[in-house]
Amino acid sequence: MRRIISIFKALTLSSLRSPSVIFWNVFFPVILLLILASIFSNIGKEVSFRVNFVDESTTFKNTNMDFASYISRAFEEISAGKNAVITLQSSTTERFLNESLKKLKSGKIDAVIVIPPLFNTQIYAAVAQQKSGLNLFSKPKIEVYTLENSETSDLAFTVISSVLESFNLKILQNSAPLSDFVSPKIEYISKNGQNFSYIDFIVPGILVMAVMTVSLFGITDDLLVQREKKVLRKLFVAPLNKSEYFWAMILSNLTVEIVQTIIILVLGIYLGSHFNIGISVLLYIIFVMVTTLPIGFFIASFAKTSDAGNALANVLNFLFMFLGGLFFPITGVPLAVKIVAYAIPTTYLANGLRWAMGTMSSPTPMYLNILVPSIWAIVMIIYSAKVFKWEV
Amino acid sequence: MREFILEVEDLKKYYFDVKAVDGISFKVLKGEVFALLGPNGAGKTTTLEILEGLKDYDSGKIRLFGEEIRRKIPRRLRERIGVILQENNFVDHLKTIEILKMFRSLYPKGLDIKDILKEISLEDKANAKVEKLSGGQRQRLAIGTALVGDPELIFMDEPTTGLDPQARRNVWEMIEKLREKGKTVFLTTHYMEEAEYLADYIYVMDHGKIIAKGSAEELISSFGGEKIIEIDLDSKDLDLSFLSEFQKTKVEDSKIIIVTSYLPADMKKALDLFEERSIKIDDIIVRRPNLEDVFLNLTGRKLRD
Ligand SMILES: Nc1ncnc2c1ncn2[C@@H]1O[C@H](COP(=O)(O)OP(=O)(O)OP(=O)(O)O)[C@@H](O)[C@H]1O
Ligand SMILES: [Mg+2]
Repeated sequence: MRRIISIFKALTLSSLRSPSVIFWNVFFPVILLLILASIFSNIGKEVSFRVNFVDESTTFKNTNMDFASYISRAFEEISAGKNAVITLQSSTTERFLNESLKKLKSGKIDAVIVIPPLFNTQIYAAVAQQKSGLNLFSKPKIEVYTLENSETSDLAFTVISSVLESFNLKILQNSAPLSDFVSPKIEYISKNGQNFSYIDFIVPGILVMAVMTVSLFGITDDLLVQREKKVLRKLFVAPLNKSEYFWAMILSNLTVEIVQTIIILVLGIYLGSHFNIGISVLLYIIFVMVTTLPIGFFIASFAKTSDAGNALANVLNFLFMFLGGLFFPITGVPLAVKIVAYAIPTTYLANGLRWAMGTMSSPTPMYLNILVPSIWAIVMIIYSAKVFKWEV
Repeated sequence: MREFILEVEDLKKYYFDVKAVDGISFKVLKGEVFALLGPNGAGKTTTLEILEGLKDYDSGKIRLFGEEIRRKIPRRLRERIGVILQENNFVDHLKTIEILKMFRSLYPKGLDIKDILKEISLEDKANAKVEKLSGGQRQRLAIGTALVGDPELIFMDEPTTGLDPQARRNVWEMIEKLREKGKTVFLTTHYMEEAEYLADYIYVMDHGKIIAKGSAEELISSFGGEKIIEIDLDSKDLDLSFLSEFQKTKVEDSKIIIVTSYLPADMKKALDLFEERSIKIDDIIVRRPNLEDVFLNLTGRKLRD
C-alpha cells in the first residue's frame, strides 16, 4: 500500500505538472464548453424582446378600476426572471413616450405599448354596454408600435397581443357570465415547460468527453510511453510489483478525472445549467470513469508502440466524441452512422449522465445506459488481460 | 571462507541466430567489485538484465544470495539489490528529491535523502526537475536511486559511459566508497582502465562467451614477461606484410603494436626492417601490457572500435 501511494503521488504530480496533460484534459474541455455554450446557447431558448411600456391613462387611478395598472403588472410579471421573453421598461411620462418611439426607430427596442389617457373609462364603459347590449362608446384601444419589416418586432407584437388577448379573456370572465361570442384564445404560456436547453445538453457531454480523454490517453501514457521511455523497467528492478504500479496508475488517472469533473460541473453551474448534484450523479460519473478506463487498457494492449497507441487513442476518442452525440444530438444521419452511434459506449454514457443530472430524459432506456458501457468495459478487460504484456 | 553473493552457471540466451549470452559461468564474492569487460555487443547488458529479472533466459542456473532464481526475482531479494541500467529514465516533471523519495519508499530500509543528495553531489539540484538535469547529473541521480535503499548488491551497467573524465572520477570514487562499506558491486564496462582501476575481479566477455578472467594483475601477467613495442608511423596504407616475422602484431592506422617476449632482439629487428624499407618512424615506445593488450591478444580486436 505504501508503495502504491508513493507511485500514485509521483504519477499524479507528474500529470498535474505536465503542460500538455493540463491543456488537453482541463483547458481544452473548458474552452470547448465555453465556445459551444456561447455559440449555441440560443437553441431552444426564446429570444428576449425589448419592450417599452407607456401608461398615459389618467382616469380611475389608484382604484380597483385601474385596468391599465393590471396590464402593466401582467407585463412586468412576464418580464421578470432570467430567461424572460421580454425585457420591459415602463413609465408614464410624455418624454418617455417620445424617447421610446425614437429608440424603436433606431432598432434599440422592438415594440412600444401605449395605454391611452381614457383607457380605464373606456373599459368601464365597454363592460357596462356589453352587459346592457348597447353600442354607444368606442372600443377601448391599446396602441402597440412596432417596426416595419423587422422580424423581431413582428414576433414581439405576437407575444404582446397574446398577452393582451388573455387579458381580454380575464375581463370578460370577471365582468360577464362567460359570453359565448368570445371564443377563448390560447393563453400566453410563460416559460415553465420542458424546453431544450443546450447548456444542460452540453455539460454532461463535455464531462464524458473529458473523462474519456484521460482514460484513453492517460493509460496509453502510463503504460506504453513509460515502457518505451524505459521508466517502467527502472521501477520494476526496484522492489515494486507490477500490480502495485497498475493500481497506482488507476488511482492517478481517477484523480485527474475527479479534478476535471469538479471544474466542469462548477463551470456548468456558472453557465446556467440547473442539474442535480446527488448520489445518482456521483455514482454515474464514477461509472463513466470506471467503464472508460478499460478502453485505455485495450489501447495499451492492442498497440505495440506508443505512437501506434496515441494514434489509436486519437481515432477512438474522435469516434466516441462525435458519434456519441456528446456535443450535438445525433439526428438526420445515415443509417450506418446511426448503427455505429448506438454501438459505442459514449452515446449511452452521455444519455445516462444527462438523465442522472435530471436535466434531460434519456432517449435510450436507463438499463441500456448501464448495460452497454459495462459490456464494453468487460470485453476490453478480458481482451487486455489476455493480450497485455509488460515487456519492460 | 567468504561467501558468494551471486553464482551463475552455464547461462545461455539466444536471439534466433545471435548468441547474446553463450554459456557463461562466474561467481561473485560478497564485498568485491566485479567487472564484466567487453566490447559493444559482447552480451554484457543481456547478462545483467537476466540477473536483474528483466529478461528471460534459455538455460542455466542462477543463485542470488544463495537462493536459486527462476525468471522472476522475488521482492525480498530485490529489496537487497540496487540497479543502474544502461539507460536510466524517470517519470517526467518530478524533482530530483521527489524521485529519490519515491525510490526510497519502495525499500523497507534505506539512507537519508539528504545524505544521498550529498553523496551524489546533487544538493543544489534537489529541486530541479529531472528533465532539466545534464547527462552527468542524470547518471548521478540514477546512482542515487540505486543506493537509496542501502542495498547489499549493486548492478551497474556501464556507469561511466558518456561522462567526462571528471565525472567519471567521481563515479569511481563512489564505487570505491561502496567497496569500503562492504557492498558488492557488479559492473560492466568497455573501458579497460575502469576495470583495471576499480575491479577486484574481471571477466572478459566477447561474443557471449567469457574469454579470460582474473584480477587485472593476473590478466596482465598472463602475458608472462612479454612487453609491448608501440610504433607510430608518419604515414598510413603502407605495405606492412613484413610484420609477419613477429609472432603477435596488430596494425591500426599508423600505429603498430608488437608483442615481444625478447625485447632487445625484436626491437633491433623492427628497427632494421623499417630501415631497410626506408619507412619513417615518428615515435617508438616500450611499455608493460595493459588490459587493452590482453583483449587484443585474445581476440585480435581492440575493445573499442
Ligand atoms: N532484444 C534483442 N533482440 C535481438 N538481439 C538482441 C536483443 N538484445 C540484444 N541483442 C543482441 O545481443 C547481443 C548482445 O547485446 P548486449 O546489449 O548484451 O551487448 P553489450 O555487451 O551490453 O553491448 P554495449 O556495450 O553496446 O552495451 C548483441 O549482438 C545484440 O544485438
Ligand atoms: Mg550494454
